[in-house]
Amino acid sequence: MNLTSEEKRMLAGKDGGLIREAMKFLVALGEAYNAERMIDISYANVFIVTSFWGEGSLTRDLIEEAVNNGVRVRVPTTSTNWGCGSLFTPDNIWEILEVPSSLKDQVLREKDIAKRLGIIPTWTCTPYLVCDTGWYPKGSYISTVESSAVVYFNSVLGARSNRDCLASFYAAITGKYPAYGFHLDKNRYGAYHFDIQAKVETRLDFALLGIFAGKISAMETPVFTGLRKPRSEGLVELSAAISSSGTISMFHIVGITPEAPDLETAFGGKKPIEKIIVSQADLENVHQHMSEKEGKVDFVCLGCPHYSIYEIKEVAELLDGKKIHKGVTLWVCTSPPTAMFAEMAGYADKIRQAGGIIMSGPNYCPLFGPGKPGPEYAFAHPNYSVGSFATDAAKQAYYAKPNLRAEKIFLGSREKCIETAIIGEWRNN
Amino acid sequence: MATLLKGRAVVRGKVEGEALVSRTPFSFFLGVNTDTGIIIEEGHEHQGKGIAGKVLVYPFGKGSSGDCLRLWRCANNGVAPIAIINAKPDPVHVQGAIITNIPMVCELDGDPVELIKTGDRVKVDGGNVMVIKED
Repeated sequence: MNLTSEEKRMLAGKDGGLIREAMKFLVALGEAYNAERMIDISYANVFIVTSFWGEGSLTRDLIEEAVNNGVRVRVPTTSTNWGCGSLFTPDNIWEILEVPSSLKDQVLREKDIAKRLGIIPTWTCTPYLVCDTGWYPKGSYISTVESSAVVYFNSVLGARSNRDCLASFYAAITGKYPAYGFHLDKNRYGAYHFDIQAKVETRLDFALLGIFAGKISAMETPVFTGLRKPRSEGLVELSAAISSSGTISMFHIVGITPEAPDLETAFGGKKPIEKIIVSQADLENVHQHMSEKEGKVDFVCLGCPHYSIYEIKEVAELLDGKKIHKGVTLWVCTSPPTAMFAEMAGYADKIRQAGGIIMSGPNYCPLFGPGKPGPEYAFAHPNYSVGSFATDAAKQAYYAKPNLRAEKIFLGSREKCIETAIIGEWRNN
Repeated sequence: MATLLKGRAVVRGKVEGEALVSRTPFSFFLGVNTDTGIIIEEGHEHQGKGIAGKVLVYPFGKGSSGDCLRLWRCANNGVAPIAIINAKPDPVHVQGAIITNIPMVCELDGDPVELIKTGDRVKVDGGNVMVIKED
């Protein structure tokens, strides 16, 4: 790779050990993709997961030393959620989650390191719902973790990110990222054409479409036609679902998303690999495979990816004056800023009065559910299970068996999930 | 009988071991218990088998960006594969291979999922993948 003098200085360790490791990693990543140079990024969204920093080239000592020596993020940087929460969740959250003190200490340390690095503590998988869009205007180079966020940033906002994990942290502290993949124009065109002839309006419809299209597209970019005026939550859900069943970084919706004014532009003038007609039966088939038909439900979870304030408002309205069935747990997951907003707006009160819990805060991810201890929660407690589990999120339904040890999975609309929380069972209607 | 496949070394290394071939895209997040290295993805062709010490072959990674961390955890727990061979490199899995320093080869001159069978002996050296089949 051709490095600038600044990048060479970082690689030589002149800015300290952590920056050297970061640049070494980014160069190795660039070389893996034959990148010719680094680019300057304008925004990063990172994992802060110190439990993984014990071994290999990224050690806790290295981080501590760097932070003490004044290493800070060089671009606006937000943090994604991981693990179990503490802020804006019930005061006894550690007890509810049965978090051992070792893990609690770790979470608090992660908060501290993030703060000292200058990371904005969003602790969410949907930072784009709470942060300044001026950091990542169309065409800007960014690096983000969270498969769903990668897809949303690329597709809906027209910012440019690859599917990143550790690289985002290194990009944040160097401000650099190798130019490859979805940062380059030539890699942003569509490959498969999905012509939607089914009804795709609700969040659930987008979930089913995402699972369907992700499986077929595999690693290629899908282009959708026949989708009219999707709500933002539908696009968030599509981003999450499509990157669960597939290795998708981006989609185009002709006439809606910024790089797809028309079909020809979306495909970069090339012919699609295949045109697929999506029928109602295709989506119903996906639903049948992902959801049981009826039965008792123990746990209802909403907000994967984290809900927007508008979605929380809808939940509050659906629960207004109602009570959740005895023995059923209802969680509504969101980012800390949105949780604060929900408090201010009075939505949180309505949800609590009905018996629901707003889950949020540093390191809470609904994919790890009632987050039993350890970075691999459910695995740490082999006998633990969320029981019979209902959700409105395809991603959660997709991962609920291995990660939450769900016995049964029900996937349906938000309304259906809330009705289920109130009556205690999923009815086949 | 031995066949040589030539690919691009994403992470360089020299190892030899037994192949475990997943014909479908692979997810450490969905599919592996990181304490034991056992594949737990429901309906996976190798559900119940271990990835530890294997040359793991699959078309490409899929799903969550947490996959990189899961692979890292497998390595920290001593249950990681000794090499990864993919048709196409997903950045999440590449980042996992870089941090764990597990040799990874991609973009070979033949489809690795077709040409390598579970149980074959495989020698990885940089971008060269020698596949040795029992006659």
